[in-house]
Amino acid sequence: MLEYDTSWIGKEFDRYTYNVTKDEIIEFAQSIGETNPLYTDEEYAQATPYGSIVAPPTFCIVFRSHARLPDLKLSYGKRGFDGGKECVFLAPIRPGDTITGVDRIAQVYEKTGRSGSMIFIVRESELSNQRGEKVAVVRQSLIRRD
Amino acid sequence: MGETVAYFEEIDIGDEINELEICPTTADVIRFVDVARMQSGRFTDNEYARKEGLPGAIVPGNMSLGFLSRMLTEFFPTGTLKELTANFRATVPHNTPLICSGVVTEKQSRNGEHLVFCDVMLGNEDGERYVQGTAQIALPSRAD
Repeated sequence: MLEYDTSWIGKEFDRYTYNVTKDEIIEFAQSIGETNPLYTDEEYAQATPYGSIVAPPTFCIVFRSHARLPDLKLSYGKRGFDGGKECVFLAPIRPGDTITGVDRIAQVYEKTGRSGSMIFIVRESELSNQRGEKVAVVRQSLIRRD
Repeated sequence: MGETVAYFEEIDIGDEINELEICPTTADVIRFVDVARMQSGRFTDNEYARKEGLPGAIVPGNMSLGFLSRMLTEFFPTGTLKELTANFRATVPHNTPLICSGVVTEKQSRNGEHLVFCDVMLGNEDGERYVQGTAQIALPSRAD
């Protein structure tokens, strides 16, 4: 049975803030080859219901905590890698926004696959803008194994 | 069904999303990790990546996620991407032709929203799947 420090589940372990610029949004959109001018062309975007450039949905992944995960006192799992993401997009992110992220450990569980046992640590980042509106929730599954 | 879908009524379960073909080069990855603030040798330096047990420098999962999002927002230009999930099944190499694809699995109208659910995938030309996930898109309806 998986043993770890369950007291971290649901507890905030990091909080961070980013200011969003128009240049960053345009650079991000261009870096994945976005063709929709809503993300890059202010004049075009002003004529849409959005009224200004907005960020492509997955721009929310740039708001990253640099804090290490809390020590969960896991019984095994020395190596780690990114197993996947779940993004819920709740409101547009715009130039001039100040985004605050709050990180928690949402879940820890074990799975046994072909190559042995793996531990999944689900890190949840809740992102809100300067008006307190939640703009996105990102859940990252970190996989650890020996 | 045309090149893009504007209204909920224009798409059905089983319909395929137009594929997006990309071939991220090492220069593309270097640009992405810089913008996405995720600099690590595993994404840009073959030697560093090999020391980590990887076959070489890899495309970040977040960049794959961006390509899947781009496929969806290009195909549903009037839609709003509500959710996107991705399981990173295998590492994605640089300089390899990749195909993003998807299929509609469900449609629902609820609470005034018209939602399309899709399975999405990023793989190579040989059919190897690197990333597999799901998406939820809200579309306008002609009935509104």
